Order: sequence, then C-alpha cells, then structure tokens
Amino acid sequence: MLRKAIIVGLVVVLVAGLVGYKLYNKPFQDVDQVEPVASMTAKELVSAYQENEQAANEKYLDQFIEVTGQVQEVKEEDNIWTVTLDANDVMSAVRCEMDYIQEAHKPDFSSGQVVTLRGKCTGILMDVVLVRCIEVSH
Amino acid sequence: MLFTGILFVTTGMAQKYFTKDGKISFYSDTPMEKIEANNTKAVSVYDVSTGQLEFAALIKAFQFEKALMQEHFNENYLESNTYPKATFKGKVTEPGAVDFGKDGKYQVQVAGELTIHGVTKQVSTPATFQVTNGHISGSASFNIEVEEYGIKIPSIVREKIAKEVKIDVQSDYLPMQEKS
Repeated sequence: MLRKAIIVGLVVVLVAGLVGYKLYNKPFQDVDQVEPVASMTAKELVSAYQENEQAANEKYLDQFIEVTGQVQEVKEEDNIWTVTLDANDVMSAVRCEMDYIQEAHKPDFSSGQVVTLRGKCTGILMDVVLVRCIEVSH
Repeated sequence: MLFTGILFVTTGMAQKYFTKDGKISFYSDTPMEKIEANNTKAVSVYDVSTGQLEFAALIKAFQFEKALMQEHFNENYLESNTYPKATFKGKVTEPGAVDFGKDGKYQVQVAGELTIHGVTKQVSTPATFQVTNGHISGSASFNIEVEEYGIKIPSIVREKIAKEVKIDVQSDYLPMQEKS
C-alpha cells in the first residue's frame, strides 16, 4: 500500500516537473508561421498612430502585422539589423528590428527598394517600432 | 507625443543630440534565477545647453531569453497593454562640465523622473559621456525597486525575481537641430 502510494507520488511529481519544464521553456512564437492580423503600408500604419495612438494600440499592439514601404535605411549594430521604412512623413517612419531570436535575419535588400516585412508591433515613440521582423517579399 | 516639433538637418552646430537606437537592459539576479531583457530601440534626446535629458522606451520591445518570462513580464508585472511605455525626464546636473567638442570621458550626475507601469519616481544616478572623434555616447547603470513602481510579484515566484533590478542604459547620440 505504502509502496503504491510512493510510486503514484513519484509519477505525479515527475509529470508535474515535465509539464513545468516544458512550460518554462516554451518557445517564442514562430514568425514564419504566425498569421498577421493586418497588412498595410508604412504610411497607413504611421497615420493610424498619429490620428489615435490608443485606438491603434488596441488594434496592433503585440500583434504581428505586415507592413510595406520603401526602405530608408538598413543598419546593423551588435548583429541586430534594423530596417527603416519610409512613411512619407517628416516626423515618423516605421522602424523594424529584424528577428534574432528564432533565426538571425540579415536583410538582403538596400535603401530605395520596396519591401514587405512581418513583425510584432510594439507601439510608437517617434517611429512605430516593430520587433522580430522577417522579410515577406521584395 | 514626447518629441514633437523636431526636424533633422545636418547644418550648423548642434545644441541637441538624439538617438533612436538607445539600449536599455535590465537584470534580475537571484540565486534561483538570472533574468535579463534587452531593448535596442529606446529614443533619447539630450539638450546640451540646458542639460535636459529624456528617454522613452516601449515595454513590448524588451526581448527576453525565454518566451514565458517575456509573457509574465508584459502581462502580469508591467501590464504593458495598459502602460506601453517607460519614460525618463530629467537633467544632467552640471551640463557645462561636458565639452562635446573635446575627446574624453566625462562623469556626470543625472536626476529626474522615471515613469514605469504608470508610476513616477525620482531617480538619481551617476552617468558617463564619452566623446571620441565627435562621436558621443552616454551610459548609466542604476538600480530600482520594482515594488516602488506598483509591480507586484506573487510569493510563488518571489525567490526567482529580485526586489532590486539593475538597469543599464547605453546610447550613441547623433546631432539634431530644432526646426526654426
């Protein structure tokens, strides 16, 4: 009886441990697989934020979106690539931090090209900032 | 908007410096667990003449090593849907001590208001400006107590999350001029 209880107890602890470990190590969302909630131009995204930041956050904050625009700048620092998409605006653009969690994404395009990037919207400071971006097309 | 009314031009002597690639990292270190998160997209503006220094960072742009930590940080602790930004508005107490025209390492004191999780507190920290061939970078490191910012850590993970979190700030500034 006692032996049975000990075995059951051990199994419970083991399963709980495994579940806990799995949960603890759960992977980041797969950018390649994730379905974007919206697609738009860089200008449309910036305009939405300029018109009403709160409303734009309700729609896009923490969501994966696809943004198309002309590349203004491509830069690298400490192996993290950042692509700035022009939004035809003096103040603001869309700044996209390329993904480095799942896979390092080094952009193979340059300034002036029109590209579509998918990334997670984190809100606006001066620019709308996207993180974990990957290239969808160019 | 924190930084309205500015325009970037390349002529003239800069009175203000800015970055859009400021790095903010924080570290929570306990015997049970080390947690680190990095943000490389903080915006900062420094006004040389007044010593006014501002930072803003998007909470959702902090990247953690583990997805679960990032989720808890955003949903349970920082509540970043409600409070998407952290900001700092303050001053370098002796702006005149730094000569941006001359190479060197300048130690300064920065004091001001730090807003995290919708709660504003006074902070003060030593900071360093490094001038190298006209290239200006600033850095600072300080600790904050998470509880002071209304961030509640449940007792079940109490051992894993430090009461005091270390924050490192590093920015490379570029000259900026105000729209006239």
